[in-house]
Amino acid sequence: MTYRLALLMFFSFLVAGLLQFLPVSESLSIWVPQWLPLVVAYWALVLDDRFKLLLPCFVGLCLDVMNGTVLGQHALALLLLSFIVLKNAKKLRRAGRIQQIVEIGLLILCYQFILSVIQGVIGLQLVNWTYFASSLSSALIWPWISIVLDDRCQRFVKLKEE
Amino acid sequence: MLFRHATGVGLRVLCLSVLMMGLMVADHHYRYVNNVRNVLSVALIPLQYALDAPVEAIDWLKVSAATQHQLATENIRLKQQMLLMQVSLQQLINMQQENSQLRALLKSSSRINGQFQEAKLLAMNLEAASAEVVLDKGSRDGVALGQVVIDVSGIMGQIIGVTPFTSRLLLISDPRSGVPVEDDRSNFQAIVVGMGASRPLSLIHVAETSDVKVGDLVVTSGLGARYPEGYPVGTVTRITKMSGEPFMSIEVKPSALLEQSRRVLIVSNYLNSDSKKMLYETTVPLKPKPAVPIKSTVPGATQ
Repeated sequence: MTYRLALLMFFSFLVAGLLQFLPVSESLSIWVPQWLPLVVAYWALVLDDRFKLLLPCFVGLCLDVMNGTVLGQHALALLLLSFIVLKNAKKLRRAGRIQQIVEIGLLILCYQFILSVIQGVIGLQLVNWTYFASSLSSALIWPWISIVLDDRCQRFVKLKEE
Repeated sequence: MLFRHATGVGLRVLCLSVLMMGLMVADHHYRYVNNVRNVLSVALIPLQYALDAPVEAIDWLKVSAATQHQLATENIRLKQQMLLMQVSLQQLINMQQENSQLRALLKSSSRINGQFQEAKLLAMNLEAASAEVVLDKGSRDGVALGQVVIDVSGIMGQIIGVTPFTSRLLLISDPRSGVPVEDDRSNFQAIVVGMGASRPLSLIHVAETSDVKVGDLVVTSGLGARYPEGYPVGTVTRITKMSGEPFMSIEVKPSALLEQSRRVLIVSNYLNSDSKKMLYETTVPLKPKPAVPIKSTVPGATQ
């Protein structure tokens, strides 16, 4: 992994983290996209077999600490998310834009479902249905994330295309 | 070749998943991994302050964009308010003296007011599952675990995590929070627990015959020596009696503006020496006294 790629990845996660926790009004907060999971999914999709699995673990632990949830909860969910992406990377990359949106939406829904299951097991079952609204907004924001990051990748990193 | 690569990923994911599950168990049941949490939360301090910056900038803009006329009217209003406060304070001082004399006559321990420290909530969009917020004061400012946080109208919660520059506040609306309280009117004692962010609180284990009515103010009882005595927690808004159930279901609306307060106060040193002794020297056999060191005291047991 080149130095420039690492730097780009770091900045993408930093910006995603800022956007994820950006304070917004109560009514708007359910629509805030899951920026960090989306960026994790993007890098898993792009790097494929060069993707390090410790990355989603670390991002997840940071999410746990920020949210004050049990350590490992978001890490596990992100790990499974990146596993699904890695398994279907080739198909996902060839998919059309609309199909990608739908698949990413389902992926984030899956991620949130894992989170709510873990919360349920722990005994904090407080998730209402509006919680899943952000998977819709995440899906809709996905094309823009991929366009911006693709552009950055091509300009700075020159990823080897297969 | 393809197959071998695929199993490789699966195996690694499996190993890491098991590790993460182990971490969850260790954190949730035993609190073994608090060090990991501490290190990461220190590393995330810059992010938390950066997130608060836009909100702070908007506040600052509001002040600097205000006209002189607006500021002058606000100034007059605040002066009037202060005058009224000072008048009521005069009465309060008198009453406090009277109260301590009466307490001395009754040979009960005197109340200590404690020290207050102002703190600010760092604005952040957290997931709603647990009700936690981050404050901008940390161990460098003397904040310690277990200190109680109040706002202008009531109890907000207690400190559950401290880094050098920030601290984490568990609101009373969190399901993990329990506050020993009493009914201000009837002195009936019970425990208030949270039901989740932006939901009403719940008064638990209250028998149907107990003297609790809708509209009653619920204040901290000081039992458990965690929360100082006599601060408002909420008002009873609904009582439901279910047939066949031993206890009533009672909803309490929190007095503190849990979702809106941005400026809060951290209370420290409110315990007098007696209660401190009871808290920290639990090996010494305890005499029956109002301050019982166990937080989950059975409500109404003294009655």
